[in-house]
Amino acid sequence: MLTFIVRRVLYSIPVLIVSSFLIFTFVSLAGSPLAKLRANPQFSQVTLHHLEHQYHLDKPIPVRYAYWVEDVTLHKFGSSLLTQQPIWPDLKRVMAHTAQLIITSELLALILGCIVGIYSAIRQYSAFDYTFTSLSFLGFAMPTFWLALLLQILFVDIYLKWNVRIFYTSGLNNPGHGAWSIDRLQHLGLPIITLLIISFALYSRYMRASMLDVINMDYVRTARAKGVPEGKVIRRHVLRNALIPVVTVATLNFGALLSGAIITETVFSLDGMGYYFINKLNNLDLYAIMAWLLVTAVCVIVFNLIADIVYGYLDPRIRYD
Amino acid sequence: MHRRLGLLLGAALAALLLSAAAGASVNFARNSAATATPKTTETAFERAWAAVPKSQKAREAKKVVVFGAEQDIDGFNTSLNCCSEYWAVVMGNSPVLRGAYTITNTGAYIHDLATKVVATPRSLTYVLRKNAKWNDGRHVTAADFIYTWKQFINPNNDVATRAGYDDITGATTKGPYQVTFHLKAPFADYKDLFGLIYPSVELAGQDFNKIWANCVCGKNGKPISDGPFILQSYTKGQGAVLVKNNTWYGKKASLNEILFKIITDTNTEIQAMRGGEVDAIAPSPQTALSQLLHQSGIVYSAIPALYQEHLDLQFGPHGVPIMKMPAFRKAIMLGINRQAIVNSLFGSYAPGLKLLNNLIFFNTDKLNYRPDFAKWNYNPKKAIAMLKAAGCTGGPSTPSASNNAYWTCHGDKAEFTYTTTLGNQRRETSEAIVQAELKAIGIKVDNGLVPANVMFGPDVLAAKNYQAMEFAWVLGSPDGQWAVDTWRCNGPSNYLSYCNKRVSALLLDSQHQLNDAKRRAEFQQADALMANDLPSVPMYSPPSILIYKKGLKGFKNTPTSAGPTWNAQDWQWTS
Amino acid sequence: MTEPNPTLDRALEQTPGHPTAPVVGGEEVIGGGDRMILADTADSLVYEHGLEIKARSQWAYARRRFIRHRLAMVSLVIVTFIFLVGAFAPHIAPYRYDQIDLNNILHPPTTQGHHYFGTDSIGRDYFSRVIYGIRTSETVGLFVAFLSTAIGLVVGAIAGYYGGWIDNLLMRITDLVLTLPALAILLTASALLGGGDKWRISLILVFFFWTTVARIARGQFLSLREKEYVEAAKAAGSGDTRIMFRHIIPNMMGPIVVTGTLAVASAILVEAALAFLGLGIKPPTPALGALVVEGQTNPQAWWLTVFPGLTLLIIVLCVNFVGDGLRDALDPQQRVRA
Repeated sequence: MLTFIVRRVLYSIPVLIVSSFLIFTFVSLAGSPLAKLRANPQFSQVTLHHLEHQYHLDKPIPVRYAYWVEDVTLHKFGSSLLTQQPIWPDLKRVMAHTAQLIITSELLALILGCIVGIYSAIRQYSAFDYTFTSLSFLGFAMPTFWLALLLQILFVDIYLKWNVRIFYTSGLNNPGHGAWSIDRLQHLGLPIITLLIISFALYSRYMRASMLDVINMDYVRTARAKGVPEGKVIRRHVLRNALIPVVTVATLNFGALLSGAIITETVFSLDGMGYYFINKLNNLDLYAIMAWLLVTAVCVIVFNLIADIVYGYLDPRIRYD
Repeated sequence: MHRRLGLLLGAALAALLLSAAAGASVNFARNSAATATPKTTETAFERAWAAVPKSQKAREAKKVVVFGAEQDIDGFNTSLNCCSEYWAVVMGNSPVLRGAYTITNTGAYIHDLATKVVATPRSLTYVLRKNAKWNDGRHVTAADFIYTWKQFINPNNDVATRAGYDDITGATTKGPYQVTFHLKAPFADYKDLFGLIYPSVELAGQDFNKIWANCVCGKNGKPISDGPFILQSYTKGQGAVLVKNNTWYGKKASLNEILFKIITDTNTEIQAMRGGEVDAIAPSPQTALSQLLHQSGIVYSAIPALYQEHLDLQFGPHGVPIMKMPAFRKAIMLGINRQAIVNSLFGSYAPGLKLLNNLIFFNTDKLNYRPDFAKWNYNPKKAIAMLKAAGCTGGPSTPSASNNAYWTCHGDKAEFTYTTTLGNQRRETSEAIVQAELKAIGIKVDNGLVPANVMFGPDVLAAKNYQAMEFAWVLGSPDGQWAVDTWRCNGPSNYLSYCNKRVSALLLDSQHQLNDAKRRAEFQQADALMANDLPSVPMYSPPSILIYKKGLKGFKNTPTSAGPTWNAQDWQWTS
Repeated sequence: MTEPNPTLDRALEQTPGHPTAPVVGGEEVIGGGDRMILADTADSLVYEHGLEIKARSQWAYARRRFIRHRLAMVSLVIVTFIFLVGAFAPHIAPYRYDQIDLNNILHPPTTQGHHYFGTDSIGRDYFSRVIYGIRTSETVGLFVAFLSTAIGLVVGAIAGYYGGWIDNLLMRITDLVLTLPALAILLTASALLGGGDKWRISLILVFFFWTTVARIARGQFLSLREKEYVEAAKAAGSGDTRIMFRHIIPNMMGPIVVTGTLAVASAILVEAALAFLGLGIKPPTPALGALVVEGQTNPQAWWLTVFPGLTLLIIVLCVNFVGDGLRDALDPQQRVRA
């Protein structure tokens, strides 16, 4: 097992290095960090030259990459060229907010999805099953931005008509309220619902399919033949094994989650990673964009690693691949 | 057995991850100082906000105004390239730091820190007000002016623009209240110099690139000010607090405190204004503001900003040959219903916005503005007649929305590509409207939507590689200086390759013309000539919007970059 | 290249409309769970009243199962209808998509003037814009699905068939592509490379979609290359390419087709998301995602938000159902009622 883990970790390191190089090269070649400043014709040429020199923009890409890696590792991602502000504090802050949003909606989606999936599998072809199957398909097909927008418009209407504030339709919280207050919940309510609906569809389907697979396995048949009561069969034999692929999918879903977060945060103006990314993209703040992409890459690699390890532990066949 | 252990391990890992993330969130939340309950970690802004009364009556009694700020800022040293944001100027510069002149909302330059300014071809002399003081007791002196100049010309300082300052070769003082700067060449736009004076003693030895990241203060960390208000505190992401400065030389401010609350989302901002949570906002133009247009109890002011949205017509080798034909250019302008564009873009929230009919000055500038281009106002029939008279054939005889016949003028097709910013709703809409309107008179307009970074990058604008481009010049001050490099032959900002020798001569002379009246005449003549040439179609200036409660007096919406706080000392509650 | 099976040579017509005819399905005759029967003359047996045997091709069997899946059939019809509407947009739309009418802005849906979906903020007919938007979406969706499936198949085939270091390298490259969240890279590419071009965006989307197909194809190849008929083909002297394309690929098309179909839906959704964020296909070509944005700035004009979003939803929903139906039809291992 240990060698498996070590092997997987060792595989991940070159992937990380190569992707960091690709990120840097792609972003640097695709845009000039000074583009925004040059757009103003009255901008001082002296300052332009000074900034070029300071950020080593006159050097070739591999040299600049080396400087950037130095910034990333030793200076916490360095500073943005456009705002002169350090990048890491902002990134840290928005990561925390997005983590709160994603983890809450993921947990809820997993719990609800598993419950619904299990029940659908046990009562296959029942009305419950058909209803939730249809809802799952609807959830898959729903464009995130459309759902977010509809929810926002709906709740703005409710507020304007009846002056009742159920959920806030934008922003993270009113000042003076903490990260775990009711106020924050009211602000995050709609974004969580948006992300929840789509993830829930995925997990309930996976759970259902996984349950159906396991239910028809021989050892379950054996348990039933032995006379074990159905409830116990489900709990002791079916459930645990059915959970494995679902947990794996949940871990691997991180990339899709982040994409959903980008859209949701933009619609609801939440101060999170997605919002940060879109803003930096619109301002062409290239170093901040690179930092964001790198952080995301690290997260995805870590999640993939965990998924591999967990799955490898649970399914010994994979270890010898 | 194995499975059970495996599942336990998986669950444990997941739990570990989740608790780590949750714990991290809590940690970050604490660090970001957004918790409410423990008073010790409350930010300066939260304390101030808690002390602000929530009802208008109580605010009137306490003489406090709450102003909604639309964007957070990156620092208050707005001369630097990183930090020249509008809200930084509004919150931390206009009411706090003064300059030689102040620009009023009608574009007039009035004396501020300097009681007398004498400009000659080779020198610039400032006679300073003797009672102007910094809030630590020190007088504003010539040393402050010299320090300011030195910061601008220091090549290690990342200042956005050095225009004028790099013409100064040296300075001589006559006592602490008079300084003469020696120029190597005449600089006519001297009134825009020294618009912000830095405190020399309080900032001595500091790195100019790093000062004022979240305060306007001396090196001892204490807030510094020579204006009607002091920036008492600024909390990132939350807001800023201004308090009255009793050491200001002018008539002391009526208000005790102005609290700027950062509300980045428009919907929230609008609801805050409606609900009375904030007393005033200065939002960027957008359709959602129509909700406030007829709201009772508030004053809604929308005036054209110092923003020239125009359609440049390219005369150079990358342009289309037919563009050199005067009748064609005039037909373009006659064929565009600019009022319809303005109505559709701004009608719902800034009704009655006037058209822009001048390429150098702006509507709000009573003194300088002349509507020279008004003669080319929408008249599609005249456009067609003009094209016919110029010898073009093949087009429609009357303007018609379903027209499909396009003109050919001496072998050149009446067709060009309209380049403008992709992703910008306003520009995409105006392109669509122009396309339809010019089609109706027989001119074909092709789409040329390009992302902003490409459009303003080296390949399009700088390379003069376009046929017609819609974009905007955004100005901080109403002075005509900016026009010189833009409209003269081979000017560095002259991307249209336009060259009219007379216009060029007038503009070049204006740079050295120190007589105000003569200079004005030169600019106005140049614009009148350009109205005959039509190198560019001036379209509109988007509105600068100021919304405030009826109970407030003294607010004056200004189009300059100083923002609504330019006269914060005049703000008061009526009671 | 395989020996024809004499017992399967007799073919019969099944009397149409016999839903209760006992079916001896391909998988139980030949071998549990193995979709592969014989390479060229893949047949299955159908007993009709115990007398006659019809040799039915594997595809015909799959088709029958698909048709039995009512939801999938209905969805197929709906999607085909919508795609045809999009394809014939110039003939169906009552107006051009860029025809403005400044006297008629923000008009709610009505039958007068054929403004079934209302008009937008400069008087353009929304029904026409939505139809042209469908056209853009379907072009991108179909192109991306097709190209990414083709590329993914080739890459997965090479990786799965040859194994070893080639497999390792290709899978690491796949991992690399999966490292970055697709939407973020797409947005970055759009912002920096000056997207807006339909084909450029489609190519960038292909860059991400091929990886899923590659993984599935590789998995299939890994298992199928051990089959006896492959060994037999090798022994008979067939080249690698021939084996891959003639023997293995036809037998793994099931999951590939399903993935490809679902990729159409995903591609349409991603393109819509890009357009919504302002970095998609450039105007004036309407894209359904970009149309929804107009609804954001005019929330009282509900038709601006509802119609494009609803259209997207229906397209994606139906494509997903079709994909589900295909999965049921082409994968006999799934014990789902056909």
